[in-house]
Amino acid sequence: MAPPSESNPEENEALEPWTSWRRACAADLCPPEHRRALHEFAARRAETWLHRSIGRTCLPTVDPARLPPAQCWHLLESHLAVNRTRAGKRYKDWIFERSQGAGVERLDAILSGAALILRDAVRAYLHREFSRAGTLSLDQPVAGHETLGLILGDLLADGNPDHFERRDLESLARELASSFVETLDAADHILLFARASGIALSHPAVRTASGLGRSALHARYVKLVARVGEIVGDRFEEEDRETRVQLGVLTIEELKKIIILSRRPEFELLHFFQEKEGTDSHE
Amino acid sequence: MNDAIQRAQQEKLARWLFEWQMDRELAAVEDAPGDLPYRAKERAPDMPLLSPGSIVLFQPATSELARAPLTALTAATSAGTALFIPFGRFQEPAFGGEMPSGLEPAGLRILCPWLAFHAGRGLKVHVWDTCEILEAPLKRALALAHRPLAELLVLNDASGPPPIRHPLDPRRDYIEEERERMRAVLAPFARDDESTLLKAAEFPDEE
Repeated sequence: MAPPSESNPEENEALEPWTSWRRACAADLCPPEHRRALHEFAARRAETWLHRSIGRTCLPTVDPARLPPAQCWHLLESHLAVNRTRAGKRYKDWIFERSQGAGVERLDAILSGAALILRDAVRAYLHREFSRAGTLSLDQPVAGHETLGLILGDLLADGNPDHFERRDLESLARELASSFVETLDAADHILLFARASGIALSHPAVRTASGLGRSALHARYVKLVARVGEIVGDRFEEEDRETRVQLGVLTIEELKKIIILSRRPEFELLHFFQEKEGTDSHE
Repeated sequence: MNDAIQRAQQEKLARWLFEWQMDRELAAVEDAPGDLPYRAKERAPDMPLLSPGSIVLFQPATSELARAPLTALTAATSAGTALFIPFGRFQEPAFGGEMPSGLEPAGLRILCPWLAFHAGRGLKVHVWDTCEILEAPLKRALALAHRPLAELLVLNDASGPPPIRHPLDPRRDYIEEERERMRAVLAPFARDDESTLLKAAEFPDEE
């Protein structure tokens, strides 16, 4: 670990609880003032995150007071500890090693590393306490897609209807896809090609080819799927929701097949980048 | 598949979606940590001798590692290389490519064989602890790591989460995000060691 800064006594003082914790193995074994500082760090962060979660989800009441400072700190200490020995707490070394990074104040790096772990620990706590197993509904909206009307049941639609039904649906999907593909522009083609080939939308080659960034492409994909859903909904209004969802999913798959077959030679370059990106084309 | 199994899968998916939504919310807090311009000054020692079941902790090497310490496990070793299987961030498996590890700590509950990667002896890691993974989950993880991602996406195991079929299933976003994160994490190692290879990069994420 880098030596304490000689030029910044304030930072050195703020670092003391952390170095004390590293030596002592657990906050409970630190001097009271250090323990208090560590607990306060965890409580302040956890409170911010717990407040954020209130009202954003169906959580009935997440009262930060339920989590006293010592318990907030315990969430952090237990999240990645394999066991109670020093060797089982090597994540502490990870936190301190971040402080060796150039261009970052040691204290900032330590606080940031600890906060990363604490955020995951708070999320796990929320999951443990409030994930509401047994009370969910298939009509529950899928977060992030509420405006599209996507519900949990849509994600569970059976992708394996019986043989004859599937053959009918596939035939309809091919028909829908072959007319829908005419409405797509070049960026849509690149988008579907990337989706079908497993190339990340954030990949530079995709951005260059489409002229769009990841967020714009993602939004475009959501719209495209929604448009297919609307067409299916309009044409097959009399069918049940599950059948319409199955048909929509198959239509998107057919669209990808069409793009792959018709434009593969042009997009071979993207494939090349896909193969290379595991080794040398990271952003 | 009977109603009880479908109900169990539905609950698993709902619990995973809950945590995914929480993850989005917590990451959106303005002073969210993790974006420090971190650069490693020193390198960790070369990869020490590891045996199957070892849990290792990677040296923080990039600011893109905006998450808890990446932990992985050696599932098998052969001539000069090892297969690592990362732990997941969440408490529930997202799809058939993930499975319970059998470990209690919240940060080590889920193994992600779909994100397995091979690495050679040049990989720089810190050993965290050894021989903590039970043999049974290790064997199962190894078997899953050898299956293509396209197969794992639609795996319909009665004891696991439901397959991914819908194009807007949030688990697809999660998969893309995790894969990008892993590529970023492995990039510095891959430059030093040509045998480092993210297995998930070999497969398309769609059927």
